[in-house]
Amino acid sequence: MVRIETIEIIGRQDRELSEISRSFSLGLSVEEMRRIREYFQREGRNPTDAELQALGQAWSEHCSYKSSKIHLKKYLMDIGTKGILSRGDAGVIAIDDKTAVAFKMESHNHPSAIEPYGGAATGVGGILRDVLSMGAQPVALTDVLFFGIRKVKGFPSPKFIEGGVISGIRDYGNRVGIPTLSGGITYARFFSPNVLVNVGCVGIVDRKKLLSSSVNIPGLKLIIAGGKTGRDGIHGVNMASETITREEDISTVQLGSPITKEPLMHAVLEANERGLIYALKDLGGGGLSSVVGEMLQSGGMGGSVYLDRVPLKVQGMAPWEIWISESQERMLLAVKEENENEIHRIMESWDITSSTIGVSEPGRRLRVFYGDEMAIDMDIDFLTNPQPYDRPSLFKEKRENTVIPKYPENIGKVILALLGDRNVRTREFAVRQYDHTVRGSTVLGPFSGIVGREGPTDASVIRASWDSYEGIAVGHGFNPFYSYLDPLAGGADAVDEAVRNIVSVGAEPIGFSDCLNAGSPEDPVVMGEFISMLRGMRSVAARLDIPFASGNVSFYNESGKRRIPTFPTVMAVGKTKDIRNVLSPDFKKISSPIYLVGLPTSDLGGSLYFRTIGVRGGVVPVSNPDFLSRRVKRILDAVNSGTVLSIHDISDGGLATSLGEMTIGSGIGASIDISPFGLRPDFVLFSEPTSSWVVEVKKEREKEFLEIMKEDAILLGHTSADSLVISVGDERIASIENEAIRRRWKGGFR
Amino acid sequence: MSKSVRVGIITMEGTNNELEAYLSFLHSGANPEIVHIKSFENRRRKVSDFDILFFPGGFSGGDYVRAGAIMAARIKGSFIREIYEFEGEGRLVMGSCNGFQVLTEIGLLPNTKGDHEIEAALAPNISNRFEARTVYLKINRKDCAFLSNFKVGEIIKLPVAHAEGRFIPAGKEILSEISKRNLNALSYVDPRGREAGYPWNPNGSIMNIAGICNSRGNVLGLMPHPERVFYPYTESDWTRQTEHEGMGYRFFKSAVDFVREKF
Amino acid sequence: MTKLKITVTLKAGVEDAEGLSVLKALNLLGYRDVVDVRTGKVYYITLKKGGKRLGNEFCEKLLANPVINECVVDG
Repeated sequence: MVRIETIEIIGRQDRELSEISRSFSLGLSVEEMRRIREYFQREGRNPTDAELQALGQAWSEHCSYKSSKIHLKKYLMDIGTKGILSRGDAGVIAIDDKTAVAFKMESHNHPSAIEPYGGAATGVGGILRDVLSMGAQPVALTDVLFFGIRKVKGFPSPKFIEGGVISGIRDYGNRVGIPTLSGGITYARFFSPNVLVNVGCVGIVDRKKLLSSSVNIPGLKLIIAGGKTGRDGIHGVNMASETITREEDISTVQLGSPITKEPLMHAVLEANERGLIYALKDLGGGGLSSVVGEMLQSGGMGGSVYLDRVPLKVQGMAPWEIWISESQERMLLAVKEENENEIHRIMESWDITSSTIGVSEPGRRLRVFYGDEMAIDMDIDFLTNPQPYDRPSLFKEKRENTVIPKYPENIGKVILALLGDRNVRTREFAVRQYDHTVRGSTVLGPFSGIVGREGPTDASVIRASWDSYEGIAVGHGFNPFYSYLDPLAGGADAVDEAVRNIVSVGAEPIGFSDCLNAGSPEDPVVMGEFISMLRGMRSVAARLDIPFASGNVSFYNESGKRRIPTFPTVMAVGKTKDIRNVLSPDFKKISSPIYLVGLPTSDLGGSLYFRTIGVRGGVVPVSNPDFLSRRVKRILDAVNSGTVLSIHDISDGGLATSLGEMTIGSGIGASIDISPFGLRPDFVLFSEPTSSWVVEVKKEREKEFLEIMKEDAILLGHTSADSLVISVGDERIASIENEAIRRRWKGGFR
Repeated sequence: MSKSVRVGIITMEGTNNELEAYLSFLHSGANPEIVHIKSFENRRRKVSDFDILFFPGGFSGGDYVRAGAIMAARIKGSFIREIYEFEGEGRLVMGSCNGFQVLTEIGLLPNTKGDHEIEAALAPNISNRFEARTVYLKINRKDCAFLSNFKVGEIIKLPVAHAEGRFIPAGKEILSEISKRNLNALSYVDPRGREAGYPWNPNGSIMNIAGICNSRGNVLGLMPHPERVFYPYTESDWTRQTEHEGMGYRFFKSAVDFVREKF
Repeated sequence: MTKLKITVTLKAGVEDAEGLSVLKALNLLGYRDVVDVRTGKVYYITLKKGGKRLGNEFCEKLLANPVINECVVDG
């Protein structure tokens, strides 16, 4: 039986090379095929099917970041690097001398567009493994989802996709016992059929037990542990590196198993606790092919792998299939020979399958065998290094027209419309299906306020350990509507929002991760947007000197004429010394002074208000990093001095929406006067100014608060009973009962 | 010198909650240990090694088949006798969420007839959804080892997180026995302490039963999670409350005190 | 080899929440003639030896909780 085929490429012309790439689903360009042909010409032979498949995986956009590497290096990688302990599968940043936090965001967009339940579930599985690969205990999951509104012919309906994604996340996250805490759901026409599933994970690691994936000495045994290997997921990365067409092969969707993952997490952490693991990596895109390649390459080693020792789900798999399979729940451990048996024993005690499949060797050669036959014999550096592209980019002129809409007849009606908007109202229909209290360490979850009438929170906080009061915060920033109009502003504002949310809970932001979502990099307009976005992100992050410790790029989110805006989902991680100082947005007391930190603006491009009243265009507000930096410092001072009762950031729907949200969980209203701002009332109430918050101050500490905030705080009014009342000097322009706000925001959910 | 109170927390693949149960007992001054069910099955550990057995929540065996069914079946197939003996000696057993499901499947609760028959089940929630929320509970009896530090009629708040929590007794007789003997140790109530429907009763349990303690008072099963609010800072509304003890604290303190006094 | 088909459903008196939501959804889609929906789980079990009696044991020992489930074995 022929297991390993030889593919003739030496002497073949361009057209034939393209055909080979296509028929073997390699996803490689003609230039890339030529490079490969030249390599094998030098080697003096034709490649095997396994070698070509390995190159197809390693050189795919998804695995190699070839279209974005150059730009990421230029704009993001050099920011605040002194804080970073590691940039492995997850980014790691210290929170004190002993402990560090490992975190990452990942996208699982293409699989979720085809099979939403499985796609979303395995997205969660994958991100957990990335954090686990650092030797960290995952402590929180987040998910930021983007769904379409209208059904597109030939694709499942957005409702079907939404149901599948939410269920997939629920069933996986709940079963592995890690709380799903934070995130967001956005509905926009851009995302049909290009659904986006961005998932994040945060973990805690003892700094002495931090692992890397670098195999840098010879003689390390390579052990595969976890699920068995099958045909699921073959060519998943190639799919993620192409635009979505209609009838996709279902075999590209991976199947996850949280019940295998859960003991695997325990086993790996136990082995790491005892110092038995030298290096670790999880098997995701590209399977064994990617992982072995990357581990050896980063450590400057070569190695041999024996595919017949890989535990299989089905019989009769060809060596190339075993090599690139993306079956879930597998990890690769590099272990010193003296610890090999103990690792197998630990795995066995948790009922996990494990097998030694290879060894690291000096040199730079990767050899992969099946029995006596050689499947791969290649130079590692060639294998893992595709030519990075500096793809052409085109920068479109930003149309900046300041738009002055008609003044609304009924301000109160607009406020309620915004609070009931599908992108503002409660997400309980989804979020109450996620277990957010498991592990007993959730200090602030997705809701806060009076039990039974809880309102939203800005970020989540986890207690790092029951033996101390340290806490870790996680929050997000993203706005595809801004990015659609102005990718640079959208990039800057995503970072601004993530920072605002962390500060809102009283934590200091220490690091970022991101999902950069875009259409095809082969389109110069997309590349232009991509670079503008990075410039915007850099402008804020660099000023704050906070690093991007990890991240993910997802290209090719387009289908036919429909593509998504080029925008980032930024995840920020923060720390607090004392969880007892954590704040939630719900008002706490009647008659407290309420202050605005920040200033309303007449830049309303991309705002929820404009979208609601049907106004296109306008100028998108851009974050001013100097203001942000100063206000962050002052707010954290004010919070840590105990002068603040509650705080909420201003984002979608502006000041009025934030005030409304603060009444929901509390049943306490507010009475404010917006005359000091001198702008049109609807601009004051509905603009989304960036770097802005609403703060409820302790009455008896007001003077102290003002001394700290200086010019950054402007008095709005006071909390009151029952209603939200808005006046301009003596003229009352809106009065809404708290009950009406709550009902609108709850949208019928109980 | 206080005696060591040994707690065995029984897990298998898919169990969650063992961390917070472990920490709750640890912070109550006991000696907890997380033990995989395999260790009991192959006799490496014995039930009698412990003073308290805790069955944590989660998805033991994936909750494939039925919540808690696979763990219960494995226990019934190997060391069930030891558990019945353990219970007979008056030692303590507690199960929350999936753990409560396991205790009903092995007949430890409600056990009105004393012969460990299966007399109740926890069925899928009436809302047909996983419910993660905070509920109010009324304590109905204090002659239960885990509730001795509470007052009868006291109202507390605990988190729930389950898709199969609807308590259904096997028939009218069982239900009236439960009622007569006051075995329904905790009931779902609204903020004013009155029995109410959804969402205060998150799953549709008959008679708003949230937790059952057996006649003898040494076995407690409940759907909510006291181990997740041992300290107040993980309660859903703590930012609005003044300093107080965690809502779950007294469950563990009562149990540890009981063992110290009695054994 | 014997193949068994074992169907586990909720007993008649137990409210089938999932069935009710499917019923409601079908009615909403216009299928007004649907009056009842019950859901269940089907296990296809292949045995080297043994038959229906073994199937009944499986029901008792694992697949069904007698308080709320019906378990039907087809050989």
